[in-house]
Amino acid sequence: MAAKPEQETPAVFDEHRLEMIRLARKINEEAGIGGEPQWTIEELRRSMEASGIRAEDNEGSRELLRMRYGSDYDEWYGNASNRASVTSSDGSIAMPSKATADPAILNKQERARLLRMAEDADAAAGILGEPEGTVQDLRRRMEESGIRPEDNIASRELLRMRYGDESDD
Amino acid sequence: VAILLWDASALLKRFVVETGSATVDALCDASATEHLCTTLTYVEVAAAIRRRFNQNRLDADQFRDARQFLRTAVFAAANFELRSLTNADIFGAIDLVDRHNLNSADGAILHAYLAHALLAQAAGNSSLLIASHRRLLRAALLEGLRVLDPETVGEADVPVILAAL
Repeated sequence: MAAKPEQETPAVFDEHRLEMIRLARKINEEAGIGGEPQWTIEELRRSMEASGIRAEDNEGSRELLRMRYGSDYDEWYGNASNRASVTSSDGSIAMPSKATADPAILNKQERARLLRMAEDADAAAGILGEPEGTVQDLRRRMEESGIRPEDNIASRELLRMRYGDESDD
Repeated sequence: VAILLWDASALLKRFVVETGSATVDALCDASATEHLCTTLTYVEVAAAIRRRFNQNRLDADQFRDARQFLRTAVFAAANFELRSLTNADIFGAIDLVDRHNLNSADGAILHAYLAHALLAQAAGNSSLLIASHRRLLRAALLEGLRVLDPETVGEADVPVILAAL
C-alpha cells in the first residue's frame, strides 16, 4: 500500500511493534510483573472462574469497548441484533470492526448532523419521508420502464462525470 | 469481519438497475460484514441519481425512491459507516494521481480506503474495495487492496469470496 505514509509501511510497522513489545516489557517490570507466567492461560481462566467471574458476562471485553465508545457502545450493545452480530457461538464477544479506531469515521453526532443535511437537501428536492417497498421493487420498475441493466447508464455516466470522455481502460 | 469499501460506481447499482445489481444486493445483505463509504461517495451517488433524472432516464417516482433508499441504506444501517476525507487523504491523493492517472477525488477516496484498510488489518479485519471502475480497481490492486467488480462476479459467488477474505 504505497499510499500510506512511510511510518505505516509493513517493515516500519513491525519495527514499531518490536519497540512496543520492548516498552511493554519495561512497564511490566516496573509494575512488578516481569518475567514469564507461571500458569497456562487455561489455568489462569479457571482460577478466575473459581473466584466468581462468570465467562458469559464478558466483563473484560465489554468494559474495553465501553472505554472506547462510552455510552455509544452501551446503546449499540443494547440492540439485540447488534449484540448477536458480534457474539460468537461460544458466547465470546468479537470486536466490532468499527474498533479499527479510524479517527475519520463519523461519530454519532456528526453522522446525525449529516443525516439532517441529507434530509433537508432531499426535502428541498421534493423527496420526503421514507421509501416504500424494496429496492428490488424499484429496480424492477426501472426495467419495466425500459431501462436495460446491461447499458449500465448510471455508473457509466458517473465515470464520465469523473473523467469526461476518457475511456475507463 | 469483512469491511466492504464502497465506490460510488458500485454502490449506485443498489439503487439503479444495472449489471451487477444482484451482486451488490448479495454484498449488502451478507452477514459478518461492515460497510464503509466516504462522505463524498454518498454525494456522488446522490448526484448520479439526480443526473439520470435530469436526463429523463428516471421518472419522478424512481428518482424519489432511489434517493430515499440511498439515505436509508447508509444512515439507517447499523453496520454502514461514513468516513470523512481528511486533509491527509486529499494531499495524499497527489501521489496516487501521479502514479495511477486518477482524478483528485478518486485519489483522495482511495487514500482514505487504504488508510482505513491498514487500521482494519491491524485490528484483524479484512477489507474489500467494491467498484465498477477499471482504473480505480487497478490502482487499488496495485496499492495492495483486495477488489471486487460486481459487474464481473455473480451473486452466487459472493459468500465464497467473502469467506475467503
